[in-house]
Amino acid sequence: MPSLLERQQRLAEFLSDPKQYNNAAEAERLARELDIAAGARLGAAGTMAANKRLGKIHAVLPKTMEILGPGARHVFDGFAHHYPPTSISRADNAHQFMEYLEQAEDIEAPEYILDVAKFEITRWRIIVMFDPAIMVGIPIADSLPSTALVRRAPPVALIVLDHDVRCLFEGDGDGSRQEPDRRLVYIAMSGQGEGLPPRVFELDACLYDAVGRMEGWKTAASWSKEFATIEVPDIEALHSIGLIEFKS
Amino acid sequence: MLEVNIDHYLAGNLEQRARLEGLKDHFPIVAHGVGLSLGTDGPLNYAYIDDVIDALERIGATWYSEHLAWTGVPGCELATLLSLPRTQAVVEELAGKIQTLRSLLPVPFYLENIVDYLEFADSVIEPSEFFTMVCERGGAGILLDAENLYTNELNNQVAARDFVNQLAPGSVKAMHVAGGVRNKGLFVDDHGHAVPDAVLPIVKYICERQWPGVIILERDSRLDAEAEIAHDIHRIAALVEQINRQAEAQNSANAYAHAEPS
Repeated sequence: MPSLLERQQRLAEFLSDPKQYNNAAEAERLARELDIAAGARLGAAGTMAANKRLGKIHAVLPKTMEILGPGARHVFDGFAHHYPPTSISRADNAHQFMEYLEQAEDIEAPEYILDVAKFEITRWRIIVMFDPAIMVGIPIADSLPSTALVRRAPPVALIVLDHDVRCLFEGDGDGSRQEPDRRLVYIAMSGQGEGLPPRVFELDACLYDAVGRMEGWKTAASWSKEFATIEVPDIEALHSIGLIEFKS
Repeated sequence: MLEVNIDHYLAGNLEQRARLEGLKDHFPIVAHGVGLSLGTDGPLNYAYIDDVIDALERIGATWYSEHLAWTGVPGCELATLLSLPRTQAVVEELAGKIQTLRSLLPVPFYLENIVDYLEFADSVIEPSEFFTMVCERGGAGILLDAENLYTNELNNQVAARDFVNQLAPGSVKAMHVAGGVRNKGLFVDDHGHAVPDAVLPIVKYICERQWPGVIILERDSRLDAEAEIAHDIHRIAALVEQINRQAEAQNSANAYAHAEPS
């Protein structure tokens, strides 16, 4: 008889994989191997676990699942076969699902489905997971002191899309129009509250790259040198639109 | 009283956590968890427990409860409450873990019975005896889920009232009541539907023998079904009122009998 941990490991692997728990003969075989009565229940237990996981993915990626339509369950089953659940987090499971969409070759879905998933998961991270910016503000007089510290504001996310999928969320259109290498920035507003859309706008490539580099605190002087090569704004302008934050 | 899912708190951002922390100004708060996986054959997850302890203090919880179950193994998290083999070795292992957990927690710890969708053939202890042994040896109070008893009665033919009869008087500290739905021949406690009528006599039976003092209606989904939820609360409250009236009448009758001259 295997140890309890070995039985639990085998069960966890089985119950998280639809290709296994949907196979009645395989369930009976595992039940004998692990000394489990009523092997038929294994399929039900696997389905329950899968439904919970699917619910988490649906909560983060509703439009993605809607576009997948009646085939969503089939896609999920393929996903679950390749990606065991490693976390109870909705965002983590949705991120795994997005990775699967990126890598799988046999999914029957429009080409822009991956951009829709990217868009939704970024929205989720911004709206639900990011904390409102905690600004340790310093007054901006005529110019920012060069010793002040500056970084990208925590509730800012950057993504690159290849299709116009914003229109699915903000207006008309089916998201299929190709717009390669669109660099978008999302900013959650402090006090905005859960469920409200973040501000989304497009950045040119140079600014996008510069903002992408601004993860840690650096002095305003050193960032100013960074931005000196870019035509667009100075860091005070970036602050005014919520892209960066300061502290003294 | 409001029961906060500690795992929702832990997954929340600062704003969401602050809102949950603020609830203690309006309600007595208790904490319930699903992420500890006490039954996983391995060491306790101390990093998770540290987070829970911090959360308990922040939300002002007066107790913390978890399930007699396992939900995953390292590297694979099913997020579903699964049964254990009911053996003496498992009792000892779990009791030891619960004692350790209790020594770390700032508040009392209660253990909840689950729905048994799996049954291990090497189980040698009856479900109620297994549950009471783990609780007694681990020093945990009991959070008794009436819906889970009902579900096990339907699915596994484990009589709910027999289970209740095995519990030591005064050991049940609180009760969960919830709804479920039938799916492919099994009744599933999904916490998203009305409390079945057949659960209420079980609730009454528990109250008459244990009177836990606290009954918590669990609801995880279809939260917009406000009328259904309100109706559940109304039915439970009416039942409690009926039990209290009967108890008062019984007390009066007893007092009268004692006062009568012999």
